[in-house]
Amino acid sequence: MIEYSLLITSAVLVGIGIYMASTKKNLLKIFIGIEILATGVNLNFISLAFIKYGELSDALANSIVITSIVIDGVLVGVGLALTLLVYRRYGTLNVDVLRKLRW
Amino acid sequence: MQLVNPIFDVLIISGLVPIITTLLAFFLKDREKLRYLGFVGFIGYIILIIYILQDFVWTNNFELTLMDIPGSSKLALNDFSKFFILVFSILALPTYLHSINYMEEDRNLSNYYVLVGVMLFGLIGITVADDLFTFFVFWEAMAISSYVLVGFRYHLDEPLEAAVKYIVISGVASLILLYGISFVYGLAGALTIDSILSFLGGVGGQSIYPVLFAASLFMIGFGVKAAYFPLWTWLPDAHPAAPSPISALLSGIVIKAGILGLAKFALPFFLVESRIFYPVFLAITLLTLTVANLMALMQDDIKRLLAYSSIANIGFILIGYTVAVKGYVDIGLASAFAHVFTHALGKGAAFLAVGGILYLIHTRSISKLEGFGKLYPSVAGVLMLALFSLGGLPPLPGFWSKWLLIFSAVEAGELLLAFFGVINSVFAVIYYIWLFQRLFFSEPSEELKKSKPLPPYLGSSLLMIGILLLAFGLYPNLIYEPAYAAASFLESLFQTLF
Amino acid sequence: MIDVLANLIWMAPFIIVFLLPLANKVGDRVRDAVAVSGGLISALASLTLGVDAMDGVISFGGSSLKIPYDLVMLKWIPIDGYNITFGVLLDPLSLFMANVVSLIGSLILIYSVEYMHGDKSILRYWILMNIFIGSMQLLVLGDSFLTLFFGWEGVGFASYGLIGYYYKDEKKYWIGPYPPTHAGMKAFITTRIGDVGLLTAIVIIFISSGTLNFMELSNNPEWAMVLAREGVLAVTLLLALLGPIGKSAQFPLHEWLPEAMAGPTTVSALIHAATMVKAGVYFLGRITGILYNVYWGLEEIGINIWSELQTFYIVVAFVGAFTAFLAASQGMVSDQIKKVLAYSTVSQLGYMFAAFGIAGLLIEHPEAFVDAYLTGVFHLSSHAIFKALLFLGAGAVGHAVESYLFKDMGGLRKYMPVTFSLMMIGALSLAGIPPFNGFWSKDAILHAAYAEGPFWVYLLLALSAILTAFYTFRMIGLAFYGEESENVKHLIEHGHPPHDPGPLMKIPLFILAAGSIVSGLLLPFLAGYFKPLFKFLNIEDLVFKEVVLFKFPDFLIKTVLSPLFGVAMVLVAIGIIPSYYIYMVGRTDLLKLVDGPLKPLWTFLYNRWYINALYYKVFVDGTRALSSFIFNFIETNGGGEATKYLYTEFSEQVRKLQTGLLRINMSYLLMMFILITIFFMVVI
Repeated sequence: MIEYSLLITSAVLVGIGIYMASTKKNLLKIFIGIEILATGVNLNFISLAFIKYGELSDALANSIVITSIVIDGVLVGVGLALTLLVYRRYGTLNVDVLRKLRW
Repeated sequence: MQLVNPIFDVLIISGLVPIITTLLAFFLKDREKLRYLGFVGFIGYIILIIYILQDFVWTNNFELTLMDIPGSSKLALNDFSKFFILVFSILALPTYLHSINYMEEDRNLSNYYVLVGVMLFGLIGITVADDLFTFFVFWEAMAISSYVLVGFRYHLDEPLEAAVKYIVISGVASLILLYGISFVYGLAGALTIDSILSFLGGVGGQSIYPVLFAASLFMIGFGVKAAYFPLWTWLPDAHPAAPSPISALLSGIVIKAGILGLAKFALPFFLVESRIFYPVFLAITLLTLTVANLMALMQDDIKRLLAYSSIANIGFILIGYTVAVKGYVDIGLASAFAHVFTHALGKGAAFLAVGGILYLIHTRSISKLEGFGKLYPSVAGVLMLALFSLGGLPPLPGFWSKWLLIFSAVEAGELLLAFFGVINSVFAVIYYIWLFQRLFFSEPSEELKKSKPLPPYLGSSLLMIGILLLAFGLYPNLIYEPAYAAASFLESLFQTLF
Repeated sequence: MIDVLANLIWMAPFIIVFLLPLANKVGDRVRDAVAVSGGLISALASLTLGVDAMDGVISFGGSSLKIPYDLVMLKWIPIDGYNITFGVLLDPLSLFMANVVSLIGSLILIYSVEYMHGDKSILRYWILMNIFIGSMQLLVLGDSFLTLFFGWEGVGFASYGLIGYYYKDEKKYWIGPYPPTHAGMKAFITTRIGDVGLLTAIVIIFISSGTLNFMELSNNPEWAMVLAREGVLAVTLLLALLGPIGKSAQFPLHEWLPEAMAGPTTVSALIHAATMVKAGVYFLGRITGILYNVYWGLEEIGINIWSELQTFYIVVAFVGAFTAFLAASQGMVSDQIKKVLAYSTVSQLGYMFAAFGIAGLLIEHPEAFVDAYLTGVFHLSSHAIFKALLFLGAGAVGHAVESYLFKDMGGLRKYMPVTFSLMMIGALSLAGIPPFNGFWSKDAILHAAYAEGPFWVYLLLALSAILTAFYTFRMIGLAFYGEESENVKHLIEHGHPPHDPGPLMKIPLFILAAGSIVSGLLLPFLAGYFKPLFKFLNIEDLVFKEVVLFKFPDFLIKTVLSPLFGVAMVLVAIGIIPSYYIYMVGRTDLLKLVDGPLKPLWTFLYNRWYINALYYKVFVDGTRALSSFIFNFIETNGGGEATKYLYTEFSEQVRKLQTGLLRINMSYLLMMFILITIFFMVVI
């Protein structure tokens, strides 16, 4: 049963991540949401390794998770840099000020 | 000639481009000279093309297992990869040349060339990656550098906004893709294409929720990159906002990375569940085609118009893809790949020509550009060739691939798709011709004056891609044969699924 | 090497099209030279291959291949059972046609350099001319219906552009009541009616055979069996015939050609002599060759499709013979020199159709079939030569007197002796007087019609021969004999007397005149040349040269000693003598006949048997009435708003999908996910 609870946990994390990225207005919160999403995905790898092989440390899953964490770091790093630029330019983190590009 | 192993050689050649660029950037202190860093990439990708086309590499397929973990990391250089490497490298050449002039005023030029190099390296990487793990790593290398490139001119409103939107949407999509990969891992136990195929072969046509779930996650993950309905929203912002050479790369080849992923890694899932996914793709194709064309119709911003037309062309490529999902893998994918190539050429040429316009006139508004063709016939001429190719007028490449797509749809009994294809290509021709007419047949307005001459590298990049358009238009088999080889390679790979 | 050369035949003009804008920058002379070179390269390439192909084997650049040979450039979707190719077919018919097209085309291009000198939009002229020649070459060289259709449409497009060349519609370019753009549109639409039929037939053939390739259609006759079993073979062929009928201006789609000379005269020459109208005849020749092989192929396995073929060829022969008569009768009353030539083209094309029709009716007798078939091809080539000559001569006349109306000419013999004598050669050829080429080919057709065809075909053709002789000499008489007209006098008074053209215009005329004299002796050569086209032909395996030695005197003697020779001479005399007395000697006296008892006939003929008026009444006015009905009752009252919405408002609405809000954008992603999930729930 524990394995499915792991799966469900990661699914919940993914859900929260996507929800935050979709609905939050604050750019920082959006990127926090993306981080949560990434965590959920990584947890999913580990939990599936656990289901598949009965242990938490499958070499493939581990290497993917480690790589993925690095990649998320870069992604969020770039994202935060852009957030900083937005803040400098518009004086707010509200993503709704970015409405010039439409139609 | 090979250095280590053809697979590594390909990666080394494209990987050396950003590395050498970085090293050279240390020595070139003079800002004026930094722009010539573009030649590193130009030469690098010429070498890559020559390398790929040499007889030994072109006629053989190679495989290589990287890590010791069984079924985890594999590279392959086969007909499929070689086709896409060619597509990517051919468009890289004029883009690099174009950048030399186009970007000369910008800050951080060394960063620019390194990022372009990394992005292309990522693209080359995903073509040779034979498992989802390696694929994902290269995918992210490509994606993250493209985010930065979109926002490269971050001191302006538009690129900044576009980059924020792009990174959020595309970043979430990448993670959704990874979520899908995790389920594939859980199902198949490994991530190489072989193990995925052997797992799917064992499923035997039964609908399993995890498989469906993973497949639909793929559909979203790749779909955001490929920008089909309703996942296109980032594209019309990001592509026009980027510097024009980057727009050419993004519209020309980066969105094709999504198609590549769909064709190689996601198609097996769709084929197994063909009954379910076929109507989904049918609907997506029809909606993508129609909506994108409708949106393009009323644009005044020339780059935005081209961006919408990219979405419409993804719709065209999806015609072939839908045919493939229906089971006609070789003809469907062959025509889709042919269109990948011709659209890369045509849209690349269009964006580069628009880059020329921006360099010379500094406006993207079509209404202000009226009569531009009379001032700079050469730039407008290349734009015209590109637009005619995109609109599918013979004897340009776009005509052949659209013809093939429609033919493949008819062949698969998909008269609805064929009909929509024809209607939409007529529809697309409307705004291309309209654009053409305004550029050429109107009298130039007062403020539109010939301000400066066409710079040499920009001009030669336009000449180059114009010649490529004509050459591939006159000898369409140069496109069709490798595309068909790529498609039939995939078909033979997926043979176990039928 | 051979494939490069073969592709060069059709590609060279297209390549030139792309070079022309660049050459235009360099200078006028360079531009003209480049433009002409398109035709010349094509001519050189086709001549090289064509001459080499005489012994049935082409060898060039170290390689050799046996004709017929299919150079496939592109194979679409190589799946079993379906075969669509795009390539070049090298066989006697295609090479012969390619030579006719490119040689005549080159001469016309050279002529154009002087004729079109100083025209403001000459670049457009050169580009369209090269597209015209290139498309025609693609048409005749194409190895499949598909390739042929590409060329077919290219020719249609170029002709539309060239007929409506003077798109500003200045009054002096009007043909009767029609401005040039109208004429271009008329040609385009009329031929398009035929194209619909052709396309339908192509699709039917593709469905029944799985291929569009000529060689395969000819080698695997099962498709005809399938169609014949369903009883639609004749229908399919007749649908396909609509294409040639439209392109070659045969009854009932002949009405576009008389207006088609609204463009520059060189264009008319090209349309009439080498390219556009010959496309239909070529198509007929091509399909007849295929049907012959199919017929005998099926005969071998015990299936006979004669009855279906008979239906088809009776129609072909009738259309040809009737058109020949119809157009020749109209040619007798025309008031414009180019219009006379246009009617005569229609009439002569009718002869060719009749020849192929007779050939088809003889399909059961291979030797006679090939004879009749070759007369058609032969007449095509001689007509190309003398009609080009006449048109270019007419162009010279028009150039000199600045009008194409007969009433503005007269007495030009004194002022333009060279043009006169050269045009006389063309006229003698057209009228069918030995030893000019028109005589040999026309006599051969009459011969075949008399000996082997239905008698009414011979009767119609013989009557047309009389009329042809009449209107030809009427044309010469009105233009070159008699009193100078007001216009000519006016020109002389102002110090611009009509004069012979310059060297660039004269040289092509001389070459064509020489061709008119010499090419009459071509027919016996053709027999050997065309042999590879037909399978199941039990002529001994003679080498080409022996055929000539063996057959040539035989042919000459056969023609001259036959009683039909005498009949033909009498027919021509019946036509020429009144013409001579009315227009060359008497000029005005006998013309009173027209105002008197012959007035109704004259009106009838002058109004083109009222066919044109009928078409305008039914189709043009009918369409206008329908469209105004639609406009008034559907578009403006209700429907119009919808159309507007469809194009702009709808687009405006759809654009709102792109809100620019990141949240909304992201929600599409979620929406997609939810939709797919729901879909799965429903499906599974």
